[in-house]
Amino acid sequence: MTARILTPESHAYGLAIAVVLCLGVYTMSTLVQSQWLAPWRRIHFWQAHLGSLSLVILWCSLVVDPTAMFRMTSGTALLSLAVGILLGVVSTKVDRAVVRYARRGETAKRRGRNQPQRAIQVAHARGWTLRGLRTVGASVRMAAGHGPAPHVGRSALSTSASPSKRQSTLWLLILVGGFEEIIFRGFLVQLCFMIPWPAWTAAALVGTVVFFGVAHVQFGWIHVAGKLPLGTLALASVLLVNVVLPAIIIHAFFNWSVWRDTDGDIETIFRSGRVAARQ
Amino acid sequence: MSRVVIDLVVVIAALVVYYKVLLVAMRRRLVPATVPFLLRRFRRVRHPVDDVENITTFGYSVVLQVALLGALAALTTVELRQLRPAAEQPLVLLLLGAVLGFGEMLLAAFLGLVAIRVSAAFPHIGNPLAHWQVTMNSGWMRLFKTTIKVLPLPAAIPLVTLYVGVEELIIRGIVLSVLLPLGQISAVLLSTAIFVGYQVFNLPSWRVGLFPALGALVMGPVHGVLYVLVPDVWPLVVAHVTFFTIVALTFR
Repeated sequence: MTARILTPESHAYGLAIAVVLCLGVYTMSTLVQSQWLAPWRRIHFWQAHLGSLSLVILWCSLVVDPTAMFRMTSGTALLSLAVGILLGVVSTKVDRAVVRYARRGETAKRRGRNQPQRAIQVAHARGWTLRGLRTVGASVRMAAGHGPAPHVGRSALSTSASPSKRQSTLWLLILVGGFEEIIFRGFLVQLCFMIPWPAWTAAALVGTVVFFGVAHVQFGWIHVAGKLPLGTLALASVLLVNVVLPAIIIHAFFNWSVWRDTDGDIETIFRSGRVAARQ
Repeated sequence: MSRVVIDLVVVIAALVVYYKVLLVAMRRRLVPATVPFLLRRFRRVRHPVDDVENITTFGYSVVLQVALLGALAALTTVELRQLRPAAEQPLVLLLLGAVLGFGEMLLAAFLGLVAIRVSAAFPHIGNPLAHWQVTMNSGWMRLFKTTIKVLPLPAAIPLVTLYVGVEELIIRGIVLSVLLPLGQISAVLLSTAIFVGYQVFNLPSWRVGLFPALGALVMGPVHGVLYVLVPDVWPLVVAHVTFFTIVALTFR
């Protein structure tokens, strides 16, 4: 309905804005959290990210039909559920395998440099970068024999987040995953199919998967590699079932497993990425 | 087709003369001659010599850029009156242009972040992270920021807006219009290539030109496609000015 009230010229601009906003949403979240809102209110990256995703979805809904990606029969819904859960498990396992494989290489290199082994084992189990653990500080310093660290916030081993906070973190992560899929596999895929040449459409679809992976660069290149299978499986599920629901389920499952691995500690989830982004 | 080729040769020749002859002569002769005069004339207003030099360079660049626009309009088949705002310029398009500039800034900033992270993986060719902050504020950005810092805002803002706006008129209004007979896709790609070259020509190193080039890589195709679909350059001027303003205010 909304696309019909725009003039052709406005619609063209609206579509272009939708594309650049979808691709730049991560930057918007970072700038909102670290620069634009910071003088008045300190919020977590995930809260800023959820807000940014919501704004982008709102914009895209004005120029692209938002209901098209959700039209399904009951059969399609059941198929989406099954495909989503199956591919969610697969993508989580692939991500963990990628991170573990990459960490093996790092451990072999760092073993000769007398790094604290206990912290590395924890990093392997959780899939965190060693740089992230350094910032977290306490466990690494203690393992290295430097004694208790000054308080720098929650450590990767800490589970001191309250149950209600952990619950709200879970909902936050699931919503973020769902909204990202609505943008990347919903709106962007629809925009790709507006390209009149099939070869360019295919290239654009591949581009959305690559862009989705690279957008996680603030968590480190290893996590970029881990997100490429997630993006591929999510796109495949959408193309198979023709609705965005399986992709939402895949990503929600993935984020749930991240939440579970980190005991719902939102500080830990982001701190490793913030350090990686600073370096 | 021969007229298109002539126009293309004229455009490239004009850009080469602008960058290789006029800008170089301006920096080597005009600016050193003007700076002492300004320092004597405005003795009471004490600014470092570097700042005065940067503002003088920028001022002359604005004049030369406007002259380039006039020269291109005179030498090619594109007339200046084709670039005038419409009598009833749709306000909605101008507002959408501003939103477009904001979105393009986000995307270009993201690509810049990725470029920094990629270069960090190759320490022998990349910069340490802290050095990128300095690099981002060098080159043309240094001239813009010095102008905004030193001159009163009622003078600085129109000057910077004029420079950025004329750049859009040249690339989309003239260059892209000249290239359109070659085909829409070719025209957009070629104009993007010229736009990227426009940003990095004559800069001392690839690092200084990286961020302007990434901005041009984002704006080039987007503005090119939009100009082909909606032949109105003024929303794109607003987008370009918005892009630049947010970059200047955010990445200090």
